[in-house]
Amino acid sequence: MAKKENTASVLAFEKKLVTSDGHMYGTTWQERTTRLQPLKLNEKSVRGTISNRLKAAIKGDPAKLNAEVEKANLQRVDACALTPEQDTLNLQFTIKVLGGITEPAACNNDLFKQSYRNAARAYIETHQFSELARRYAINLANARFLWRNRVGAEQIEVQVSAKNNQVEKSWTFDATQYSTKHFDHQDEKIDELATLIAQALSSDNDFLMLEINCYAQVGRAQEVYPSEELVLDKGKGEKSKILYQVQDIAAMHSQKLGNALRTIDTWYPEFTDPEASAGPIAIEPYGAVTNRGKAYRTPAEKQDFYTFFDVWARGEQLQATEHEHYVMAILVRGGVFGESDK
Amino acid sequence: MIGAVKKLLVIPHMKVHNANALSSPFTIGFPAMTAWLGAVHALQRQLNKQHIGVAFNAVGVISHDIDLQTYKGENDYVHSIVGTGNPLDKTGARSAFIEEARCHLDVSLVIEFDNITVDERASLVEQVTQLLHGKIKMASGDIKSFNTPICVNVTHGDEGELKKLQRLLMPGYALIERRDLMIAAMNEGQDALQALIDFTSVHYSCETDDTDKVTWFRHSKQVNGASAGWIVPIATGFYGISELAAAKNQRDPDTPHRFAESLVTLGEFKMPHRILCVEDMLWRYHTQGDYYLCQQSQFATPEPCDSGNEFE
Repeated sequence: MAKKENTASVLAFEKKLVTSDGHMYGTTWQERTTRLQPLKLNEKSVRGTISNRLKAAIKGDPAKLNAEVEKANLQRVDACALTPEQDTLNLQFTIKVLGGITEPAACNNDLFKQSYRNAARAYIETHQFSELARRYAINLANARFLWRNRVGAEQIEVQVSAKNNQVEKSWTFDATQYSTKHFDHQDEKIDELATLIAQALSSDNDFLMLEINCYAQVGRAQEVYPSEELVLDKGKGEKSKILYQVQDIAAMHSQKLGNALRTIDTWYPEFTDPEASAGPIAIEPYGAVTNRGKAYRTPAEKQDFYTFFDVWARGEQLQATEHEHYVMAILVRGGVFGESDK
Repeated sequence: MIGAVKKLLVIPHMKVHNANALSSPFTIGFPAMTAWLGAVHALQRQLNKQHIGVAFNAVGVISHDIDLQTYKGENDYVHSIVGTGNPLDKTGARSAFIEEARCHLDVSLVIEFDNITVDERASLVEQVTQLLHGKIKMASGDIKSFNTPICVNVTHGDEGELKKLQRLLMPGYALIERRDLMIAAMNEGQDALQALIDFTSVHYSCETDDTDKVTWFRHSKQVNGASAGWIVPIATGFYGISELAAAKNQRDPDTPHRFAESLVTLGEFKMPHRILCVEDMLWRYHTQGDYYLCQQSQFATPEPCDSGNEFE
């Protein structure tokens, strides 16, 4: 095939929402702002039962089955819980919102860079990032970033404060008032926060620092869920589950918080199908949802990022505004998107 | 030299998140020296773009804390790298795990600058603050926070000014080049990799006395009968192994490409209060023939070495 003139074989974008790790503290709901104690990981050793599916030969023979089930299934895992006096989990992290999306971090083709820049400028002019920023703001307000810790929490309060050279503002949200299923909330506080996020994203090299301080009343001595570490060939160590900690404080990975923040994709085809829909999914080039083991935007259906980006960045129009939002949200997420020049 | 004033920009306690700890193909740990000088050079270019004609000539790196993302279980013999799970591919299948060593850092940078007047310093600090927040990365890591940068003058030979700077950087460890150890070992006929391992390995041995009591000893290589200090392998530059040419899919289409190998030597983490003059902690670029090197001025004129190649 002939070599295309405006193909960038090296193309990369930096993330524009830079999340820190989330640090976990325990407290009580009444004294939540004054008494915070860092949560530590505990090691648990338990005698588990054999509960996996067994081979037909063992299943059918009661003697063999008994012998199998009598074996101790010893496990050592990390766990993290509030103390008996505490009923509230406190999660703290920061997000830096950066501008300069019109410049790729790396691009080795000037023609492509020029046409991309025009497309990105046109998007900023028309939409000013207001739709994306509103969704990011709602994901802060609804405390989606708590992940499993959000489930069953009685009360959740999210304090957000925004800071940069010109701004210093803060808001308090009652997360239970915001759904994680849709982004239809109209709210003055959300609008204020979203405007600031949008300003930073549309800027050339400005930034906005967000500090998030979240309290979730999960119940006395209840277990809480930091991130699990991914340790591949960890040798013969006995522990089967290793949780994340930073300087002896239980923590959530920045990547995990970032994923929750960009869970704003309601534009994939199956979203409206009540049977197949996964609700809002995280912004990913192929619409990947790890816990479902499924990619919701496949190249076969021409709904993936690359299909849109390749025409959009070369100056053509996309069929729907939602597609543009999706493409820009991917660029906010960042990544390496170079294509083969063959 | 006495009386020479060094103008220094200090960026105290920069917290860097998920920095690249894979500094050379065979070492993991503190990010490579090229990463630090590169980031400072990028900072200078951004400042120059904004009409602040500052020149950053040398960089000192002080590590206050490094949290290397590895895991070692109770009975494990080796550390394993803590990885990151990556999104599924287009078929919904799990993508391959790629081992990337990462670390969280708390570092201070000491940058020797020139070419600006005293009046311009305030705007320099302001712009540096803005760029570090909004644009610059360090060793591929995100800058989470840092204390306000400050400009200080240190006159050569002035104890008081040096003490003031040292207090600013304590507690911490400045990264110092110890190529001299490599040169000495290789002059004694040791192979480069062997010399490197010799200085960084820790040996355990035991003795059994008459009463069957076992005593364990831990020792590492000594220099002149004393401990050589906190010695670590560090990556300090590159050695070109091909001619300048255009390569397919190179990152920058206008600059010729060259394949290179990283240069690894020994370094030492040394408390700043033990440093006798600022120059001892500063690193500078040095290019010569096939070498692209970050080095300290004590090595400015490379000493001859029997193997003919003291860097590797």
